[in-house]
Amino acid sequence: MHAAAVWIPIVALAMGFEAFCYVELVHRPARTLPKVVWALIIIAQVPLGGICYLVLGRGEADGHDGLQHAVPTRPSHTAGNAGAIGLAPRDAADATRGDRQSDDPVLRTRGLTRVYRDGVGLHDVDVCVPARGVYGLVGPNGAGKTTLLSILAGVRRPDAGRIELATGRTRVMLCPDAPAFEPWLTATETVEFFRTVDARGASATDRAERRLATVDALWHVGLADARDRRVGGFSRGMTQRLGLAVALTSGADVLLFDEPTSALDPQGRSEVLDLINHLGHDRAVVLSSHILADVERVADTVGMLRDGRLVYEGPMRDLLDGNVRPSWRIHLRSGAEALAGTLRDLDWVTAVAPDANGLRVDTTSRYAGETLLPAQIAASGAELVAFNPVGADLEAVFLALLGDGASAATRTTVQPGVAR
Amino acid sequence: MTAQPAAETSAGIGRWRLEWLRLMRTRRWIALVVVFGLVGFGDPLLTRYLGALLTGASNTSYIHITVTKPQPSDGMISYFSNISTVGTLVVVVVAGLAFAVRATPPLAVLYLTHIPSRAALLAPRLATVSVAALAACGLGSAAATYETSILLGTPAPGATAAGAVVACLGTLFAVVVTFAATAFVASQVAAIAVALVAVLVIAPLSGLIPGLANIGPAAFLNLPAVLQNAAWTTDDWWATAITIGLIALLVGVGFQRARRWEL
Repeated sequence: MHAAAVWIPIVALAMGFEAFCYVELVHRPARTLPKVVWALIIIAQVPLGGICYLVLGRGEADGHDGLQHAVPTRPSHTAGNAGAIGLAPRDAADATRGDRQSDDPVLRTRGLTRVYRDGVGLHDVDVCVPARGVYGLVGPNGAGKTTLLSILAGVRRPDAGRIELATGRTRVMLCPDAPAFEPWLTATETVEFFRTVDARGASATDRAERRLATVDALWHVGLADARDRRVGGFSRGMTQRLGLAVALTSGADVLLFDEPTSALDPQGRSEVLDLINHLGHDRAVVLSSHILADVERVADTVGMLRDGRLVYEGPMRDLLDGNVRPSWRIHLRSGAEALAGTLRDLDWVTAVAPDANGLRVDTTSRYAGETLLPAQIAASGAELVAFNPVGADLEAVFLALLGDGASAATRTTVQPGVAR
Repeated sequence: MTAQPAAETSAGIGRWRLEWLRLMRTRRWIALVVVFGLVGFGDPLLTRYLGALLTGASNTSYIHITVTKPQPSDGMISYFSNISTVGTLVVVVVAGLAFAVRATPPLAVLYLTHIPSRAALLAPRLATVSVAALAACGLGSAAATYETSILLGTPAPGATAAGAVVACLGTLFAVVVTFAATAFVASQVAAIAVALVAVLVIAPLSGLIPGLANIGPAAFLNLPAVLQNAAWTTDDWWATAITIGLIALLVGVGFQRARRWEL
């Protein structure tokens, strides 16, 4: 009688724990060591082996959690608009970017400085982020983009300078380039948590509306099918999409995105940029990216950082228009080589380069290109198919502003916009 | 086909529920229960048969081991002694994993920018881990009392209850030391190592400091075992008060330090 009372609890506890550890080992991926090694450790040292496995070796299963649901399509209650998560209607999104931009800044810095031990960091940076619109932050690696975003988000302190916010500190959200979430929460729970974490005292109606918005957000970022899966099994791209879903539902007035498309395929990138574009209609979005085409596609305002200093800040359109070189793309059916030889000897031509179907010609002035160049083409006897001016793109301007060969003087003469 | 609203499938998640889920879904509660449970059930058993084991192990003609008949207090002393090491180890690991917010900076960014204050972020973690550790310690004490009663006789109720309460406070001390360590050290492993050194090495060594030998944390951590054969003294009150003061101080330091966190 005594023997049973003594041994039964111990044996039951130990065997139950061992059985639990082995069930977990079979159904989940193992970390740190191979499964067979963990199996030996678990049985060799009861219970510490099992505890070591649970703490160090148990991976997150890439499976569904709880009830399975029908594969969701777009939620019917928001079809046609995205109001439930604060997105502007599609029609408004297609409006010109300049129309949405607000003159009132929601965030402004004055003399922001943060210097690290090796001298890099931020130096006397003054940025002004409009209350609505997308602000593109570009610069080479180490220029200080992430430091600036971290300071703006309040997770790093400046050595000097100040930040003027026209909204509450908790209304500023930073979405890092490789977001991470609790691996044991589902996608829905993750979005739900960050959506409601600072909404104390919400009514039952409010809570229900928030949950609907969670479904919307997951649908918008393409995670509707994975909404009940635990985040631990997500790929990097899926995690990045989940970060966007959190941003969509956060209700923040200022969204800071650090390389939000770095882990996405081209289609995913396009979708995410569309989302960011939408978000910019009713709040401030700061987009830091090294993919200049992305920034050019969605940004209304651009800020360029180099070596921790803001070398340019101004409207994207002004930057591009102000830096259009007098350059022309000539599509020729024949006679390209002869024409190139002729043009290279002319003093109003600064560069001639072969292009896909003809030549690209830079001239000293727009007037020379529009009047003298067509006459020269006609005189050369070349068969002309098309003659188009070449617009400036952000990459070209970026290289001109920040390229290694560019002098400081060159960088500070960029007009229009605010050159620093 | 339309989506089934998530409202029907998931409850809202707040900061407290998040910590509850952390404890449950990461299965860390099992580590606490198993260690304290096995020590609680196992140590009185080992005490009961220690004499037989030693006699069997020294089966020679020139070594004779004489073991006195174990008393109920011996079973409880064995339990309280072991949980002050093995139990502390597990509690510190579980606490370190929960408190080290900055160990994953991308996740920490989301927490720090969404939750209104650092205290609001950390208080549920501290409370949840503390309650879980106290529950495990209480469960282990109950198991040890049960097993001791069957094998060795009923232990003194007053000494057992006092030992269990003091052991729970000792467990809480380990939790808050870990809390303070994570406030200063970002890495999970480093914070756990610092906390273990503080609780298992520095706290016992503090007993060597003249004047602190009987009233410091070292005396307090030994108190559950000592109380099984000795009455409560004035020095024990001092040791308890000082340790409770240290717990409050460490909690305050941890929260204060967290306000200055950077990522």
